[in-house]
Amino acid sequence: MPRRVNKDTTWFKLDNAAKIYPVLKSSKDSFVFRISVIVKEIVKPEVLQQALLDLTQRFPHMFVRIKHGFFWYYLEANSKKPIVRPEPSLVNQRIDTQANNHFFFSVFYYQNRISLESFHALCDGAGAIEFVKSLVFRYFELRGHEMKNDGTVLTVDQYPKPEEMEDSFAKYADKSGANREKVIPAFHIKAKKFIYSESRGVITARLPAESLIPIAKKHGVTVTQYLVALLTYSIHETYIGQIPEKRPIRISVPVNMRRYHPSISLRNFSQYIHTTVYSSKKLTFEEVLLKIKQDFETEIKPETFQGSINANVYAEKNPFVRILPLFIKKMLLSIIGTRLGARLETATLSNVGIITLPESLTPWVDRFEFNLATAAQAVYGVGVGTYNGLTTISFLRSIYDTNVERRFFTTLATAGAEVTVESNFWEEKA
Amino acid sequence: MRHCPECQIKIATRTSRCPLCHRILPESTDPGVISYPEFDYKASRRRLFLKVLSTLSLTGIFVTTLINWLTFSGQLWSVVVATAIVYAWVVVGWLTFKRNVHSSLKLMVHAISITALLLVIEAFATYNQLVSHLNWTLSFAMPSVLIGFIIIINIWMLIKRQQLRDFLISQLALSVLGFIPLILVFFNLVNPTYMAIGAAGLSFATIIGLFILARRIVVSELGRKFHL
Repeated sequence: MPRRVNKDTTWFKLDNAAKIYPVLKSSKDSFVFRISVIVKEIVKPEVLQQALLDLTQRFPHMFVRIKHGFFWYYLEANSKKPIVRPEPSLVNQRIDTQANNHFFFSVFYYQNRISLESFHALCDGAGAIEFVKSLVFRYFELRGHEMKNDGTVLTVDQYPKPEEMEDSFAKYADKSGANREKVIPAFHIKAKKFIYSESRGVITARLPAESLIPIAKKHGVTVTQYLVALLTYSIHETYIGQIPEKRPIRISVPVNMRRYHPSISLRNFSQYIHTTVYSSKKLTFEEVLLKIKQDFETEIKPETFQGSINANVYAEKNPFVRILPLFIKKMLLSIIGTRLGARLETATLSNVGIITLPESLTPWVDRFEFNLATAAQAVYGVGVGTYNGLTTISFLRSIYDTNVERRFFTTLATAGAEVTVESNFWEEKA
Repeated sequence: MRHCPECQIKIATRTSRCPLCHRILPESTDPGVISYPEFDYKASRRRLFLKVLSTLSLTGIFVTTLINWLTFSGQLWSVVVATAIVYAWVVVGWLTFKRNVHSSLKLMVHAISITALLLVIEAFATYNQLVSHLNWTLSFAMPSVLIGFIIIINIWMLIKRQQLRDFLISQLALSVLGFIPLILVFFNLVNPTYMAIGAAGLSFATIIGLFILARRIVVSELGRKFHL
């Protein structure tokens, strides 16, 4: 088994982005996301349990519990064992740490699906994907299949690198100046919410990537830009009578900062851009596409991201902020997070891109699915990813109405994509 | 796999309705798969119970305060009732239901809240002067409670030495509080003083003992708890 890296890894500071999540988490804002792998056999829980335990030394930043300090929260190595459990009917609910020995992630199994639900304070989507890939790789290794690592997966026989656990925000912040995004209050969907605040409806579609790419290309945009535009237009069409003139439809899109910095951190290292479209009766899809494309080009600039990283790190390093006791920080962050953060967006769409697995593993994996967290006011989280030529688009929502999804997927189907849908039909249950 | 002619999509889930438009689907030979586990949500009952309990508590505080005000005869007994209800919430609501809090922290909160309750009872449930009648709580009850809880956590730490780190901060905080009765001696609020001296002595021994016997763990834990 690998030994620990030389630094004391029995505790970590939360990374810059993670600091807000323990403060703001609630049943409405769980800050929990799910990554599922659909494999080509019924999952064996006892093998999955062993595979998970085998990852303990390789991913020390995941096997932790979150503790209160006097000034900040921190992560502490958890010597107990996480337990794999049958998948619950609720998706992305607040992590029940008591049921899982105080861990802040859960590994579930259901038929041929293995799911990781992780609290965002531990890692972002990119970090979680690496964890899930390693888990599935180890699972099939323990199942007796010959697995060969071609460098696309982290394996249990490797030592964890200190850089994998670093706070890349702190590392890559510089003195080039801070830049904060202007706060534009966004339109928030007012529709009947599920009775229970933790309930979430899931509609997941899968479609061949080769049928999606030409649709985006035809409009002269990338797949992500096209999907953001389609989501914006679907919300516009569904709620056109309710959208105030001054409240734009704003879609929050996470961007992986590892593309701009040579970071191999498995913790949080993402920034968000926001697309802004003002609704009107005459608004056309082409106009939305054009605006989304412009917003991407304007916002996705290394210097913009650098300014934003600097602003967040400066705020954290501010001596006045540092010496405030945690309970005062919690009060202030809670006000800032609730008043400002949630006002910024109508929905979130994250495209994790193309996932690659070792060739020896691909015969055993059918597809990946991604369920983003919803927020109290941003009632839609849309997760997108592509594996082995199959793109999955998963809508998670906290409202009964499914008209946004209907418009979204019907448009894709009409444009020529072969769309196959699955649902948890939560609107018929609660 | 079923097909919705309206939405032009295939549906993999076993269903008779389209998940998007909710129209009845044409028959198919392929029944589809059960995509998600059955509905098993139960958490709402506990939440409802807590909501009912908080409504009853607030109503109880309001009604007793009103009765005390309308029939006031120099005694603020409703403060005792309100404090007892708050205490019950701390014990039942927080100490019992709050599952992610370590037992040592629960014990510390219990020690503080029980002392506060006794102080309020003695202060407001009597006609006599406030200071003289706080004497029993400050001289006997408060030091006894602190001594009792410090001893309980000390024994617990000895039994669960592997988890010593989890008890440290609560025990150190409780031991610091253990000096309060001794400080009150200097303000002539405590008489006789032997219980206060006992609490301070035990606190001192506990703090020194922890630093001598588990110095590395104490320093490391303080470093974590107070990192800037």
